[in-house]
Amino acid sequence: MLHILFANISSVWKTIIRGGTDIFVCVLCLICASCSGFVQDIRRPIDLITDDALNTESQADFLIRGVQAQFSESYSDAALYAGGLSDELFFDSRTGAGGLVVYEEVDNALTIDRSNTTLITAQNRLGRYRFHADDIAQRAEKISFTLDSSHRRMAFQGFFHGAVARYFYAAYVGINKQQGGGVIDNGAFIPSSAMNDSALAKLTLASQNMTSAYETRLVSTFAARIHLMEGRFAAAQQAAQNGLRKGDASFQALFNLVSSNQLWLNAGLGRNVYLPARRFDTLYLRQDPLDTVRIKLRGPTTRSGFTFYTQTKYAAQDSPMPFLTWQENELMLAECELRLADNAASALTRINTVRTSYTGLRALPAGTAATLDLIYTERDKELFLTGMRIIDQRRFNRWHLRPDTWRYMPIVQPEINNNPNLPPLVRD
Amino acid sequence: MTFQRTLFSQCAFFLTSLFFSYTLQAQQSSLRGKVVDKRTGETVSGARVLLAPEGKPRETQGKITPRDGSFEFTDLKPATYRITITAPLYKPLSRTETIGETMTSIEPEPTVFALTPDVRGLEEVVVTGVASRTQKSVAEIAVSRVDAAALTETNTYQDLTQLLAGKVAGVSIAPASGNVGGGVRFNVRSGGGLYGTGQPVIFVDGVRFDNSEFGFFAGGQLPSSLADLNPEDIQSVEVLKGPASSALYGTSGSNGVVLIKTKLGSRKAALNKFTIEAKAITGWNEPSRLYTEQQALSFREANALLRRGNLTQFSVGMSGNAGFVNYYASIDRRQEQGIIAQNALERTSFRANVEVFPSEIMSVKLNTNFVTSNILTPQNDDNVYGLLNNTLGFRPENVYSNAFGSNRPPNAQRALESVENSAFTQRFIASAEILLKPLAGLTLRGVAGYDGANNQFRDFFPATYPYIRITNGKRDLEYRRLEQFTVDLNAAYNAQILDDVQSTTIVGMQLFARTSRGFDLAAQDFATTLIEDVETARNFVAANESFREDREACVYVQEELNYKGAYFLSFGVRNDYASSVGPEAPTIFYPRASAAVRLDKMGVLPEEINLAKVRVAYGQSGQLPSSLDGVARYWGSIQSGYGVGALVQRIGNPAVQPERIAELEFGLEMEWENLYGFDATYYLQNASNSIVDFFNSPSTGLTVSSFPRNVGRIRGWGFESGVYATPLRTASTELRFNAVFNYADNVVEDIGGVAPLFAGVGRNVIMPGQRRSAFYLFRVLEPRYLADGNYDYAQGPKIDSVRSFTGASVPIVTGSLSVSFRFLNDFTFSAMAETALGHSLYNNSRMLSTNPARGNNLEYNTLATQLGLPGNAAQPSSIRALPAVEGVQRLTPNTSEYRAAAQRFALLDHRQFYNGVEPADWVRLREVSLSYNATNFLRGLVGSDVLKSLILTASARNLALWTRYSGVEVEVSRDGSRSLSRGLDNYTLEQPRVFNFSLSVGF
Repeated sequence: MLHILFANISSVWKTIIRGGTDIFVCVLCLICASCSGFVQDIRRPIDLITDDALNTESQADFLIRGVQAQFSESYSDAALYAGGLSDELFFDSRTGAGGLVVYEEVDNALTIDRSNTTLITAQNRLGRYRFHADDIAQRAEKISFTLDSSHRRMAFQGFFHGAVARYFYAAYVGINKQQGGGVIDNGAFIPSSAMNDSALAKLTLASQNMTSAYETRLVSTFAARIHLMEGRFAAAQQAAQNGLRKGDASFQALFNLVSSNQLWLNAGLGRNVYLPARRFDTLYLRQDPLDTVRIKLRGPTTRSGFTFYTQTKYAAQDSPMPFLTWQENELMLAECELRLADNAASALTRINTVRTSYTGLRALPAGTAATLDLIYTERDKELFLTGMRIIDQRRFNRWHLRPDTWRYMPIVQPEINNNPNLPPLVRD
Repeated sequence: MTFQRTLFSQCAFFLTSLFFSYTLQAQQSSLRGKVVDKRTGETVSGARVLLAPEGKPRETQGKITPRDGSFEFTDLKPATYRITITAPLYKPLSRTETIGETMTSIEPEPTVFALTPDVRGLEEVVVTGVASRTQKSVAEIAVSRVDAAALTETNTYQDLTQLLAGKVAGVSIAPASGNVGGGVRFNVRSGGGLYGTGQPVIFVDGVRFDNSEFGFFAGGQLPSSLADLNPEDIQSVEVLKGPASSALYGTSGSNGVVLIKTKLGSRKAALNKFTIEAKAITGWNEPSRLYTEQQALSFREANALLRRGNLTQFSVGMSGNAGFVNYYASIDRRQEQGIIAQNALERTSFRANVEVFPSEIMSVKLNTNFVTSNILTPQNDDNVYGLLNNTLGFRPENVYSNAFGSNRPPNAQRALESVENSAFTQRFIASAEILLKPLAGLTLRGVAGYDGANNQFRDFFPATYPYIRITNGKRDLEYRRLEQFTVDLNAAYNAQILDDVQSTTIVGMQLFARTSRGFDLAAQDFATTLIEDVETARNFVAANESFREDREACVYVQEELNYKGAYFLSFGVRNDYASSVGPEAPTIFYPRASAAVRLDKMGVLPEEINLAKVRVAYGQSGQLPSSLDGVARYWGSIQSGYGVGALVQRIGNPAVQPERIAELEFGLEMEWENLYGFDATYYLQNASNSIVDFFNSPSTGLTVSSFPRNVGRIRGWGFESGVYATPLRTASTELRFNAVFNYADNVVEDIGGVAPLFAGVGRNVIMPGQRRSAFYLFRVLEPRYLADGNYDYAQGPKIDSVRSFTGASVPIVTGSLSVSFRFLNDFTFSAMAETALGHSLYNNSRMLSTNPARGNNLEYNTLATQLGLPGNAAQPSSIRALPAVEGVQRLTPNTSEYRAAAQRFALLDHRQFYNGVEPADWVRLREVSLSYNATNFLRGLVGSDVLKSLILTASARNLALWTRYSGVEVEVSRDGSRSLSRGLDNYTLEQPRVFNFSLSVGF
């Protein structure tokens, strides 16, 4: 019985094979088509979405929060490394941070390895911040909004953060030890002043999309800071006069436990890679113990015979960092008044307005000479750990290291390698 | 009569009753024989003799020859019988014997069966393609086969990679570290293409086996999926080494294919119906080398971490045949501790394999394997919590500074050893294979397989200790589920198409689908030190979830021709489909062709040469892009202080296609007198369209991932050979040598005009004109001096103006030498030494110690003291702070002694990567074992067949290492080198010395 069955099967097979190549080819084609269909029939990832899917009004807030997150990252990165480069923070291996070569290199500022992954990461984040800010500004024009206010809000965020990112390049990045500036989207090197101009241009666009008077004042304070950095005191004064006022909320960078404040993480209770300069405890706090409202330190801690303090201005992983405050605006006005009109009395009043805005901190006595020195010191205290010190050191020409040291964070090697518009391999 | 016998006869009756009448009342006769060695005439023990009436294989019965080589079958019906005799290291013998009726009681002289030696297994069937199988003696490609079952009989192995190390020409295996359960890297030939991990595809019983590394980053030595496979279950491993042989082996086979066959009872082994084998292994891991003061001042603290770790393994396996069913089942449990705290493995494995022959034209094989394992991985490498880095990296008074900063607790060692990183795995692997031979010459084969793994990872920092960057303890839970489906369908039609020409036509397809899903949940700040669950930690610091699906498919056609059993030719094509290929990419098509000629069949060579084969093969295969590579831009979400926002998370290339690797190989295989032989293969590999991972410059803002472009080219070449000899072979004594020699090199030809790609913190380079991953650095020329003749530390040494080649991070030459000596019948001694030459390592462990901030290198500190750097106000603060070495005299600047010290000191400067590269050639005594097969002794003692076998072995691994490398370990492979880094010694845990004792009993 079985052998009869097999004999039948055999004859069928023989027929098929004799039936020739036509069937064979047809079967192959069918198989190929089904293979092609098989590999395309896959489910999409649950955690990712394609680019064009975000071009709707309902995604605007989602996109804005993404840019804001990157603002916080970039700002705290900048404040950390600028703090190390300047005389605000210093490195000492005796805290146990030995071996973290890059932080020591940045502190010494003599040779900084452009290939260091920590620095590359920071510059990648800044680039990403700039890209996403510009992206939402462009996307705001692509999306058809039902509400004009939604459109303005998205455009404002795009332009404002576009300006902040450019300002970060101008203030913190450099092509070599002395020359600040950065690169945008594989372009040629843009020196700090031109980069700042481009930041101001973005601010102008932002101001065309404002939705509140607070935003107007915020943009003005920021513009004033940029003018001041460029030494344009009249322009700075004019902008600051329209800037943030006493009582205005600070514009802050926010953090959480996933995206932590770098100053907590590497220059604070997270770990003591960087320590606040000794003048904060041995000079400022000794002169004026009540200034702990602004200069928050914990210590002293002694380790291997070495005594140090840890900053607690950012005492937690998610402590917010002020970026633009009315106090800074006030100090900028004081400085401009001194520089432009030598108006020491008004300057002192403004300094005291700032000081007395803190509970417990006393005004400087009448008759105190309001000099640029005083401004420089008050800014050091008021703007403690906000990335301003390095800008001030350059502005006031008070560099603390030998002349052949880095005053900016170097443009990293991947930029030099991959950007066709930059000169090849720069050796320092 | 046994149950099996009953089953056997019942089934036979059911299927054959129409044709045969099975009766026990027939006239009976017997067959007596003796198995001898054809060459020496000595008797062969342990030969397997199978007897079946011609055309009735299901009536097979069998015997195993004792020491005198004799056997006898009684109660035979008069008929023509097929007798098949197999013995290890002999060619199988198969012939017919006609048994007549013998009514007398006179015993005839035993028939002599002479076996021809086959020390190399030339007649064994090997896989030469997804649907091709042939004898090694006629294979057109280089294929290596490892008889795992024989190896595990006389030695013990922790995992698959130990089983293969040093035994396959053209393949070297680099463990990531001495971690138990740690990852490995296969270095196959010259490395295939430029893209991908360079790892072969692994199939277990036809199922594609996941070979990824997984788990939390506890340093670059993650657990490996290969640890899930129990080496005691493996029957054999075959390795196809490149596109010339793997071109038709489905998708992704460009780096070779490793085919693992697990054990199965055999119908041919029908002799005892079933065997139960129980094996117990006990032993320990111990540090093979201790740290010395020359390596680190804190060597005592580092040595205090090392310990002896015990290992035990128990397995019970059962195999046999019950009529039309062959089966193998095993249970195995292994427990092992590594040589450092928090390193251990626990694995329990169950396997059930069944092969059924419902009819003579059909067979069905079902294989199932369930594994549950738990691997503890210590904190490794330069990870801040790394055990070795926290000791070796710091002066004795500062140890554990990395992990605890200024809050170092008094019991820092215990605190760090309390960090727990575990990977718990449940894995199920199953396959079904159906083989149909519906008519003469036609074979249809279908395999469907599943590999599914659930992995749970747990990373736990107790709240009791003040770990840096962690507030009050942390718990991180991760879950991964990976499922892989493999389907393989093919048809082979064999026919005589001309006189003396056999043709085999093969058509097939392969489908592969992989889905992975997972999530991660991390929280820190425990409310109490008493409860450890994630819920008790107050702050969630991470939450991720992902799902990925990938699919691959291929269709292939092959034609194989065989002329007079002496000339062989085959050619074929394959068309591939894959979901990771960009939508704008062209279709993927790979050709292959190969030929072989048996010169020994021409009648022109002396008779002593029993094999002389030349072969040539060409094939192409590809390496697929990664999942999601074909989409230009993917956005995901980011958590921050502002809530959840959008950001670009992946950058791809819609035109991306697989890298194409072409390989041409030439081979020569010779064997004399069936005892001495060699095989040699020379190959050329040429990869084009290589995927180069481009990184956008930071200023573009699109740096969240690299993106692939098909712009690279790499050329590789190499030579691999095996030499074997059996100079001594008698019934009681046998001496065998086996040597493997591999030479492999490559040069990158193009990377699409981008700047050199530096990996491994800038130490390894990928750039045109250089060997892949070579160390390519600025050479240190000479020290710089200050005006007063003192060493200028601030400026550092003078370095070359351009980078240059300073060492190969992958060995250029690898090899092994094995010896196996059987003596006094039942004792076997075997040993294997492995070597790697032309090899350098980047000794980051030393480089970190010579950082003056760490100041943990004696030579560095001594030289610095001689040069007057510590405490010198004219020197930078970093070196100034280095404590001077007591009792060391300061040398006078501008003297020759001072300059000599300066010259040496310049070569220890941690700021120059060049100083980290060291030659690291090595020779290692890898395996030594002694086994005693007490079966014969016991049989004589007990006089019964109850105990079928008893084997005792003692073995050791990594007994000795010879190298000039200054660190403790030469076999390092960060991440199992899934990353681009090669040859980076970053506080790598050394390979342990392992001692094993095993007892195996068969019933």
